[in-house]
Amino acid sequence: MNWLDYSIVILYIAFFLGMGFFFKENKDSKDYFLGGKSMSWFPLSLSTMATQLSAISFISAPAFVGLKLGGGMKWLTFEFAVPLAMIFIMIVIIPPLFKSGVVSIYEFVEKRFSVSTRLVLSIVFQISRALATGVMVYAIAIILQAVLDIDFVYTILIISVITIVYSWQGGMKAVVWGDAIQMIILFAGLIICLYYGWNLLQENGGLPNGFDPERLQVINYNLGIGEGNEYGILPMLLGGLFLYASYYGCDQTQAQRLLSAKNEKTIKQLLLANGLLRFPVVLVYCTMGLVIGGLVSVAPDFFNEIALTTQKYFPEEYAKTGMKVDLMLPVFIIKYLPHGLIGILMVGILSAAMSSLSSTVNSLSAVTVEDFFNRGKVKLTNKKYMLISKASVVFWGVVCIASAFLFGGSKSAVIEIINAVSSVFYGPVLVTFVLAFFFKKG
Amino acid sequence: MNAGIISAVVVNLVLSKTMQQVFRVDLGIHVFWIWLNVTGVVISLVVAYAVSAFTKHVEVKAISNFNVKIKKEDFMIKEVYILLAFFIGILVFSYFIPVIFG
Repeated sequence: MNWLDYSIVILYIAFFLGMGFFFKENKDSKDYFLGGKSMSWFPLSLSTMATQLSAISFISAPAFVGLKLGGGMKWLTFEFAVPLAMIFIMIVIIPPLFKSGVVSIYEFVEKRFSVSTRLVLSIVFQISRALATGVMVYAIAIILQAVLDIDFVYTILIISVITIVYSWQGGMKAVVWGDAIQMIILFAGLIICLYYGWNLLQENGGLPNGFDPERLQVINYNLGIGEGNEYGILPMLLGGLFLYASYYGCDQTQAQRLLSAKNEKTIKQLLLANGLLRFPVVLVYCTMGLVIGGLVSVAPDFFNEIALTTQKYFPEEYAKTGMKVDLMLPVFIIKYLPHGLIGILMVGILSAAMSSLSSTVNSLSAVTVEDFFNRGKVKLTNKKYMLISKASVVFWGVVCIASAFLFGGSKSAVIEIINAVSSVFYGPVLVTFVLAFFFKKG
Repeated sequence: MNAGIISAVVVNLVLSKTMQQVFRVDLGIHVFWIWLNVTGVVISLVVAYAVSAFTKHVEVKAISNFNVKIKKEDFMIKEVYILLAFFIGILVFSYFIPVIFG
């Protein structure tokens, strides 16, 4: 990185701080957590996508497609169930949820079942999401440290503090518009990498035998039972349908975006846009991974550089596998892209992290305020509500930073267990909501 | 409902690969994790219905003026058709990716 790249990063940061300031007028919960219920489908659908796309999509998925052993374009099978899940949410989940006028979606559960059900779902959401997001920020920081030689402590602090400040000040509007801008930067970054990767591959003589046919195979017919049977089409369709219906419809981070819409028509447009746009975006980053993975196989110096960086920064991984595949894209950016574009791509990586973090802290505090402070008969006054809301944005921001530092590097069993628990909750959460909407008995 | 959630989560955790690794037990069950979403839905649904069938005297909490029903017509909208067509489109496209990129 040179002065030009750093200026781009600084400009980006300044812009986001300015945006938080611009959206600082927030009177009550509808404003702060639901953007005044006035938002249109375009920023909301970009925000939905940006929240879901994290560093994983930008760094790990292309590495899975292009370089990882046993990986390949079968990553795309994750996308198959998305349009179906959008239909399910559109018809089954949205009408009752939107009509009920809740801010925290778990409030609805209490209306039909008991306080304990609401609190269990809410607490699992809060703990697991805060920890997972912290660990995600750490993962990005550690990869940036390897290619930029900037200590990960600074990167974690820059990503988190900037995000907390604009989310704290601007509320949901700042988060959604920020996500929309970040999504556009991210997509531009993907196109840049694809373009340069393809040209470099041709300059290096191209692939003599084309892409590895095994990596190109998307559709597998295995049933996903038994060792090594993964990514089969049947489990991906059924499991994916329930996973996405639960994630996009019954998870506070995503459902809050739906509740921020002007009316039900806007939600339909937003879900339609998300259903249609996700596949092309994923296809672009998978293709980019395939192309850059191909480049690794024909450019020995690129291969060596990934191996050397692994050896220097991830010695354990080097001893085990010889290279950390997640370094493929960052090393590519630094090694091959001209200055200026490096800056844009770094901003892209920061955007991937910040868009997920901003939505997380905003939703976490919505849930905390609604489920713990604003519950029961006595409701908070607007002034007190805003005070607690803003305080809890800062609180959750700090928790995310703390979990990045405390748990990011460790492979502790506690974290693994928390992740496992939260990942098995999607099915039951979906059932809870569907029963809450339609089941007649108690 | 609580019974449904808890039993589904417990069964799923037993099936989960991560948990088997954490506790260093190998039950000989290898299920691709995406299936856990299906088992979660099925188990919690079955248990919730079973428990509610056996406890007949629980007070029903209803929300006044709140009645939602899904009708067949709800599915007859253009968004649903577009998404269904798109779903088939991406399946066909993905099937031919080895030919297109090869």
